[in-house]
Amino acid sequence: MPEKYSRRNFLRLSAALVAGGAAAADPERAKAIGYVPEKADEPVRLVKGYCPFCQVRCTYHARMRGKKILSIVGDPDNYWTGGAMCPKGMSMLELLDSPYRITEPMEHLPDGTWRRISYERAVDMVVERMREVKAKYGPKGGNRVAITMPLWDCFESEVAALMALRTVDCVHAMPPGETCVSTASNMLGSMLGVNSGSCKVDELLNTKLIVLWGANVNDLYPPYTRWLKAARERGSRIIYIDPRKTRTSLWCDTQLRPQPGTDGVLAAGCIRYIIKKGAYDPERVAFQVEDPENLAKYSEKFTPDYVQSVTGLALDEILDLYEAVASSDRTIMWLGGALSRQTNGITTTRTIILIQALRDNLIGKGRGMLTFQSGKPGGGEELVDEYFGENKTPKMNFRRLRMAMSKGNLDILFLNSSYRRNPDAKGVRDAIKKVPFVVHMGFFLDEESEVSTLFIPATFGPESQGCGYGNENQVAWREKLVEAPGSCVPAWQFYRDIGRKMDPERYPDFKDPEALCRLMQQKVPSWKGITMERLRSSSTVLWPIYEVGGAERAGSVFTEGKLLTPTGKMACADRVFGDMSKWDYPKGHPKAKGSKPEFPLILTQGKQLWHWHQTMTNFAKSIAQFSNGRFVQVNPETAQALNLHQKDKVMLETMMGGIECWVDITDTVLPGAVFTPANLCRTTPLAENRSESICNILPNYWDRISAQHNCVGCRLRKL
Amino acid sequence: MARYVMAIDSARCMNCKACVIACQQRNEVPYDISRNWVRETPDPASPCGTSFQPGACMHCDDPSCVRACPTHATWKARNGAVEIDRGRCIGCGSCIDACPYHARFRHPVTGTADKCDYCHGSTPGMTPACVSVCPVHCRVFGDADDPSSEVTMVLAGHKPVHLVPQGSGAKPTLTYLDATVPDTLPAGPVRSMPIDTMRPMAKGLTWVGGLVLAALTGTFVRQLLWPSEKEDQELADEELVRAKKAAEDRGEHRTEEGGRQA
Repeated sequence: MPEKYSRRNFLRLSAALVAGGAAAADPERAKAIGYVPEKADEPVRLVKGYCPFCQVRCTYHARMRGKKILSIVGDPDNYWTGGAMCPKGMSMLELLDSPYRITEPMEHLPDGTWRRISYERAVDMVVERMREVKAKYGPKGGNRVAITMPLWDCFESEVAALMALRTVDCVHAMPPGETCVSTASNMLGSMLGVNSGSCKVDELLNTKLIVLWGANVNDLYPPYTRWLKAARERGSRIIYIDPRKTRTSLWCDTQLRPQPGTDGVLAAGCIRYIIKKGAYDPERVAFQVEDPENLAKYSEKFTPDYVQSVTGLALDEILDLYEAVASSDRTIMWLGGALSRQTNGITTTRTIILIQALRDNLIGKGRGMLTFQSGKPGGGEELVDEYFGENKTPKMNFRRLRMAMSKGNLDILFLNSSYRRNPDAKGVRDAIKKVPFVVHMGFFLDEESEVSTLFIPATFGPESQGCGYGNENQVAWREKLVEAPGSCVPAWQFYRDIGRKMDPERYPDFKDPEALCRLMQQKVPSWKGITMERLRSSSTVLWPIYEVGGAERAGSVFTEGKLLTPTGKMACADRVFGDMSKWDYPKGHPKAKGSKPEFPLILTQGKQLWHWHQTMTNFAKSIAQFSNGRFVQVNPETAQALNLHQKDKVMLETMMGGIECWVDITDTVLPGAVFTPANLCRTTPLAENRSESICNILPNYWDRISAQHNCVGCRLRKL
Repeated sequence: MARYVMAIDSARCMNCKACVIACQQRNEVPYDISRNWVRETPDPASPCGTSFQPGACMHCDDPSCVRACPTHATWKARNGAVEIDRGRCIGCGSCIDACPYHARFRHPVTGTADKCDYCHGSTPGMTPACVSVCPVHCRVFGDADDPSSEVTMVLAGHKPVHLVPQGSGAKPTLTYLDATVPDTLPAGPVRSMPIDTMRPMAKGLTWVGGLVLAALTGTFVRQLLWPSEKEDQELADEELVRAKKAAEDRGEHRTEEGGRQA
């Protein structure tokens, strides 16, 4: 011990050690590992919002500190979701701050490079083009402009865009569902008078029987699984008809796996069974069907043996389904999207609806039809008409739009959604390239920006306020939670700025979505009761509400006890769409007339649970962690016949071309059929999500409604 | 004191992975690693051909991770959770190797061990992210000592199944309801020699360090109350006396006052 040792020295030494230790430590690192508690200057608060992806329209509470979203928590007060969310919705947190996001407007130069321009310049370029069209073609210029929906934003953005188009007398807005559910939507419209589901999803709770006809609910709308669960717990039997084993297989009582493309035969056989058994009330059938006598005539050839031979199902499976349907007086049938994507989907869908009419399972409690993308609140076009006058011009469908583009008859295309959703995507791309001015409002440098003249960086979800709408016609409100990066602008602002410059006298001056939403409430009767106060204080509000304080309408749409068609009836045989006796395989199916023997396998494609279409989620690492690239699922029998092994590289080929895939051998697909996902895209930097679009190799077969492509013949060539 | 547990009805799980991403976001875990998981097992008996088994830290009683930790940075709390104090974790990885469920990992940002804490660290008082996000409510969380809690009622109505890796002797508190696939796990990895050797050494060092600290503290207290050395003033006085004495020895006879005068 030193001679000078004392208490003071001892204390000095101790203090020096402590101070030295503190100084030597890296404070940031100390904070990171928990030595220093996070300084919570502001408390965490919960702010409402909604997922921008599928039609379930899950609402959430964003946990926010200051201007930063910490995480999101599903909204437990949302009646339709119960607080659930799915991975694709949660990926929005990552996508907001994505390093791949483009945040400045850019002009695509002829040499393929991009030049950054200001937002104001971008708006001026669009306005100049629109003025040119108007000057050159007058009122007919409207046919030289079009927009593809949806907009990644809000209901108000759609209204703002429709009004901007009307400044050049254009009405051509392509609905997003044209390649998804248009067949079901059109058939429901012509037979029931409502081009969506005839009831809300909660009506499942009142059923005795639920038939998910190709409706893979769990993969498409994961939060809706709770409705299947709740219905089962209340005693409903769930029969799931799908060639593939999927997540929905877990939540049904029985699954039937018919050969892809043969559902129409299974449905027609059911009609024959019910008639033969006399399990129907002739008066009620006559009340709903114009030509009930045709039901027996047209279904006569669909004997159980015939159904068995075409569908490949066992006889007892078929009869079990028929008996269940014939004995249930409270049945809801849910039409899957895949039925709409085959050229015989019109016949299939019509026949399924007729089963429900024959059994009197359309009108009343626990009865009806459901589809995906079941509804969308109306009223938007009413507001547009309020400012721009009633529209009398028929709208183009995508087929006409493609022809117009191919022939060089379109001058301006506002390309908002993925063109790769359409079959023969390469052909669609070539058609778009003939449009001299393509404006793409998006987020990333993707396939759409490749064919664009102008890139406008869009906002995403919580970066702007506005209404979203969902499958049950529910409207949800979202506040602006965070600032958008760079020069990103909400679509409503972009289209408003164009509209105000084009036609300041007619285009209404609104400063934000709230102002436009208030205009909806003032001028559109069905929105009168959907007040800002109600939107802000409720998780969701069901459209329509005609009075302030009015009640939300639930249950079946047939409140007057009859169908909503002009006659209150549906036709068994339709002049345009034919009847069930004309059923045939989907065009391009290996068993269809004129099919090519070199493509013997049936190609099916569709969504994967965690992906939303072909762009957004393909750029998310949070989703890539679950993805495994372009695979093709092959039944063990098929694999053996083709000498394929797990993980083999193959070329999946149709008459349109080929895509490289890896083989996943599984009995989730039937022998002779293959499945590959629809979501992947070529331009993502994330290898797990990268592949050429499946629509590049799908043919553009048109039925009387839209382009259909499922069940075409294909082959696998080992690489 | 509550005793928190989780129960999982794996038959309901459809492998949507919402629980995984919700946990990653709530707890700031990078997307390529995770505190929880859904194990996929090919199973011909399953309607979709695969059985799914959601999981996470089993919050074991007598956890091997706790025994493996050289710094007592992880412990079984009285509320039932196995907790980690990041401040005490040295990131040695001993607990990560010791867990037969592979429920722990080294967090790439903090460098310390990380695992499920029922979201207590990120959102104390809130339902764990994996539980609230699940579309089919297959995870149930709550106080097993509260007879009215949902988890107590769920556990009472089902046969409890615990997943125990072969030869591990683990006593998990995470309970699967009625059945789960797989119903056992292969034996866990053998811990690495350096870690195994380090642990007793570290414990010895801890003891030695503790004794040294105790001795220093004792000295400090003793010095504070009963100083064994003289204080500065006394030392100065003694110095002065010594100086005077030395001067006297040199024959200088000067009083203090006289000195000033001089």
